Amino acid sequence: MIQLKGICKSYPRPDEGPLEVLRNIELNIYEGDYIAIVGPSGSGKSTLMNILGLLDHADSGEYVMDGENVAGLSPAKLAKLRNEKIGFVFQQFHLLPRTTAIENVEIPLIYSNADNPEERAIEALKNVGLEERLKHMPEELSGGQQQRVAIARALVTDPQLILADEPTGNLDKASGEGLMDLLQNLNEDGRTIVVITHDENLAKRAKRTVRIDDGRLSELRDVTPDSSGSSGETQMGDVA
Amino acid sequence: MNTKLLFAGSARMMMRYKMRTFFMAIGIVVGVTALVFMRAMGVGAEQAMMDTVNKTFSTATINLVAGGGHMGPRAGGPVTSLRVADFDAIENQIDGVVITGAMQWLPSEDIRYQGNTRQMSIYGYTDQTEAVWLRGVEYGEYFTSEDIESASRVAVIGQRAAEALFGDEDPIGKQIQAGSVPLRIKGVLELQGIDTHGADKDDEIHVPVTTLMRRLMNVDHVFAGRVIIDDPDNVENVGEEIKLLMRERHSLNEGEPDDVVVITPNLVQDIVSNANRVLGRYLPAAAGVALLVAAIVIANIMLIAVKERVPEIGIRKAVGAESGQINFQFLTETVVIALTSGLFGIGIGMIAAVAFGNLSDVPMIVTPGSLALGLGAAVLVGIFAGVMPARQASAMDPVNALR
Ligand SMILES: Nc1ncnc2c1ncn2[C@@H]1O[C@H](COP(=O)(O)OP(=O)(O)OP(=O)(O)O)[C@@H](O)[C@H]1O
Ligand SMILES: [Mg+2]
Repeated sequence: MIQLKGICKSYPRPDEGPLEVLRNIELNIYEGDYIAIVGPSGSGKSTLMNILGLLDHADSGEYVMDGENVAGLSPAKLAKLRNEKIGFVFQQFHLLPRTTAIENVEIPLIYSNADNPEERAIEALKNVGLEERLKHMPEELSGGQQQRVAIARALVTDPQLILADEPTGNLDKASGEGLMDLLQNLNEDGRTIVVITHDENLAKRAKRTVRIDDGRLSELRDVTPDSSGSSGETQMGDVA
Repeated sequence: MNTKLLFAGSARMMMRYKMRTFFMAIGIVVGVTALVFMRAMGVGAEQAMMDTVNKTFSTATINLVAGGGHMGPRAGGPVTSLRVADFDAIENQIDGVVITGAMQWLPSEDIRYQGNTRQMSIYGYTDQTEAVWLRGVEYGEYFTSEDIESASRVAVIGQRAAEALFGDEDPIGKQIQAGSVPLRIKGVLELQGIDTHGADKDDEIHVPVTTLMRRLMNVDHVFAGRVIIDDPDNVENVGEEIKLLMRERHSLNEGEPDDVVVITPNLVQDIVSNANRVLGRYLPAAAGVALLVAAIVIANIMLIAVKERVPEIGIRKAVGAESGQINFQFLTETVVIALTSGLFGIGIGMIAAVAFGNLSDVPMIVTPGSLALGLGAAVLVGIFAGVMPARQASAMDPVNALR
């Protein structure tokens, strides 16, 4: 579904040389994949996710989605892909304030030409267990509930690819478990899932785990609580 | 794009961010109210002045004034070539002329009655004043043609002048003294009020034009006169003929300037309406400035609002909004606010103008054109104030907007 080849991203710094956040990333994501991305804070996970979600673009390298190099696509076409193919769950939820759960979930449907947006929004909220909170504003919801609204919004367009940046970061153990079940179900339904997480339990449920360290990506065969990622590691595409 | 859903969302946001919406609206409401109000004032003033002009200069009227330049006494000394006979010639020789009347004017003379002395203007008219100058006597009688022929020592007097000289006494038949000339009062003039030059038409004396020329001023020319014609559509042509006839009668060579100014109603209306257009335009221009200031305030509030809404823009873009759609949304929001405020503005402006017109004697006229102008200005302001923030909002990169 997606091929990343030699993706690099750096940010200029005023006094030193540029900060290299992603170095030569190589990654293939297949239809129906379930990938967990792990790595220390500041290692570039969110940056990679933004590139995958077509919110940001790489400085160099190639990003091919369904056989198409996204570098050549117009902003309008990218917006359309974001709307139709990708469901993004942000690290900080990013819900509209003073806007009800239904209205928040409806937003992607404004830009697609979906019928019955309200019913679909309600359906999506039911799927994440929020049927009791349809008319609540984000300010009136707990962190876990806001996270579920954000997930409902990502799911409402029925996207093929779901990208979730630390979806369990703000949840207690029970809701975290619930969310993991939800992601697993979505994956079993055939959706492709990429999730950034610090939670090893979540990472364990994924089919594959990749690790980012200082902007370099490596694929792990297996992650266990005591192996911190150094055993059984296959370096991929790291030429430095 | 689901426009209905977008608009519903926008409407909800405006309701939920009431202060922001209110501040954007208030500037336009004030500006448009001022615009409609001031335009009503301008149009009212123009109409009032045109009414006065039309009353003074009926449309089949041509005025003649001695002199080559402006109306009124000339700087280069009096022109002495305009005669009573010129008016007779106009009446007899030019087709379409119904009647004419010459006029002479003595700006100020001491008028005495017993112990009272009063400075007044004396006008010399013919016996046709009622037909030509549309003013007759309230009581008593006006001059007759014999009075004109024999330059009789008679006068008719304005009502304020009569009160000042005679108090409660009946002026008819009384003898007054104008300079050294004794005059017998024959009648009292109809009230006319203040004229367009600011002179009090009720504080003057009329005498036969011949009496004024021969006995009081010792001249044989007149100062001005009036020609009434039968067809208002013909004023320009008759005016031209009069000019030619005057040049011929005064033996002017080619290249010499006219010695008589021929004033047609069109000319007067042009001058007056030009003066009024200035009035009718500067007042709304002042309101326009208010509106422009409002526009800048609104644009700034919109810019602040856009900054506040950067995360919203990021979210919308992240879930698939195109730049054009963001642009459209922001622009629509401003135009809707502008249009709504504009409607409030013209409503309030109209009510204020009508109320002010009723409570004061300032003439106020609200025209549909003024209302359209107010609404148009509001929408323009909305677009002006909405375009920049909308551009800025839509150009934003989603990652940057979400950071
Ligand atoms: N716009 C930017 N300008 C400059 N530096 C940036 C920018 N965005 C990210 N960075 C830097 O890039 C690095 C990677 O950031 P990123 O958000 O991808 O980390 P992360 O792995 O998601 O961390 P965390 O686990 O804390 O979320 C960080 O050092 C961050 O400071
Ligand atoms: Mg991150």
